[in-house]
Amino acid sequence: MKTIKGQLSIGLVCLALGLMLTLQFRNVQNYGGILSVQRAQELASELKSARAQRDSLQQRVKEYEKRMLEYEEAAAQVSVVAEGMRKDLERARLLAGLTDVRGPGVVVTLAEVQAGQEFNVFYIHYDKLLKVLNELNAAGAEAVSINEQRVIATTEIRLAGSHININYQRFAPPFVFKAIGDPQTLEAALKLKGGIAEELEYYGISVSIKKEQDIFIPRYSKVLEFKHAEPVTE
Amino acid sequence: MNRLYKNTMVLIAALFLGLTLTIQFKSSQEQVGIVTSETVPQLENELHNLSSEIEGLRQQLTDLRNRVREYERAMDAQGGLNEVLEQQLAQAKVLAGLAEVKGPGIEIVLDDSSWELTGDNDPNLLLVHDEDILTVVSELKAAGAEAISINGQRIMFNTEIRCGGPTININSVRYAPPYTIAAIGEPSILYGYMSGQESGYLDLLEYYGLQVSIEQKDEIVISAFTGSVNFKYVRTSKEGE
Repeated sequence: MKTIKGQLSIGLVCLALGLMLTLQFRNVQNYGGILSVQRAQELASELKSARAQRDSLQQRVKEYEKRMLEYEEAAAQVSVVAEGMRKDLERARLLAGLTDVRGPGVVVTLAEVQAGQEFNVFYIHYDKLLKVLNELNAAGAEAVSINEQRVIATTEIRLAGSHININYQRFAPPFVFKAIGDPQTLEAALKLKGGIAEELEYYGISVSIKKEQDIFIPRYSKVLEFKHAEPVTE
Repeated sequence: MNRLYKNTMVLIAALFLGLTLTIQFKSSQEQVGIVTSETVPQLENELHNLSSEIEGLRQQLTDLRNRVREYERAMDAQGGLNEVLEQQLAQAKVLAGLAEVKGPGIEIVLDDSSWELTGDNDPNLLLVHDEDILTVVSELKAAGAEAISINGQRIMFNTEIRCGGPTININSVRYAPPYTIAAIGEPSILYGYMSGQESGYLDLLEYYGLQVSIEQKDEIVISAFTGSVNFKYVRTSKEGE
């Protein structure tokens, strides 16, 4: 009798122990492990200092930009020709994507209908992002950004491993398109019967379109320069 | 003796259980917020993007410093400011696609299939579609192309490439096959990317029977965008807005 009691209690303890162990393992699996917690903390603090660095750099860039624009303003005062040149310069910079812009338009958010699936639908249908951009352009978009990356003439949208490259930056869903133009037309182009929004929803990507009166789109975040293309001079 | 042995066993098991519990609690306490297995790659991407942004800002700063210095220097010379303004404008036009440019690069020609249309094959597969061109252009950009044109039409930041029945509209102008896609950039890199494993898209088109040719060129001329740029909605955002 006594041995049975003893054995039973040991059995119970073992059972509890086993359960605890299982729980422990499961937690570790869900949370990516203690190692990844450490790595995440490391990355988070690196991110924090990088953000501070970016902000101070941004401040200095703004200062110099202001000074440059002041000089250009001064140069434009000299003659009518110079004033015309300054206006052309502003327009060319806008077209090149080198200035921050504002205006009415739409904000389009694409997300997975069922997040956290083994296969991320965006990685299978990444070319659909190109199509959304193409439809916005066809509808007369005057400036576009995707996840705050300004779309310029050389902007690529490309699947690279487990992320999507835009301006050589890495992104994962959701994807947020901002487009400046006639809000009505832009929305209608996407929502067309049998159009891109329907197509995306068919593939399991949710599309939300918001019309807005004032959208801000940042400039291309790097210095744009050509190494091979040079102007043809007559 | 036997009893002592059993008690010791229970003690060890209990100790072990206690330890496990402690570790369990400790590790779940450390997890402030939720660190899932997706968190690390996400943070890594963010850090990668931020570093690249910082690098870009550094470049911008150097670039702006040089420009400001040029203006400062020009202030002293007669008509100097005008000259600098002119230079800045010429440069901005090149970057915006408003100037004709030349340079080394590659030329890709896409044409509809020459296969006979029999009852078995889908005629749709034998044609060059807007999406094919759209993808090829995006791959060229990924490979580092600086300027691209299709049948002479300059690709701008907002160029649409869209099916319009038997033809394709590019910058609201209609084009029919064959489509000649010209790109300026390092020819060997562009060629290697487009013809090799990295892209593979041209190979796929060829497999479906489209006629595809790709050639490196020492000099390609890409014309300026000639369409209208009279924008109605967008405006430059000035500081402090």
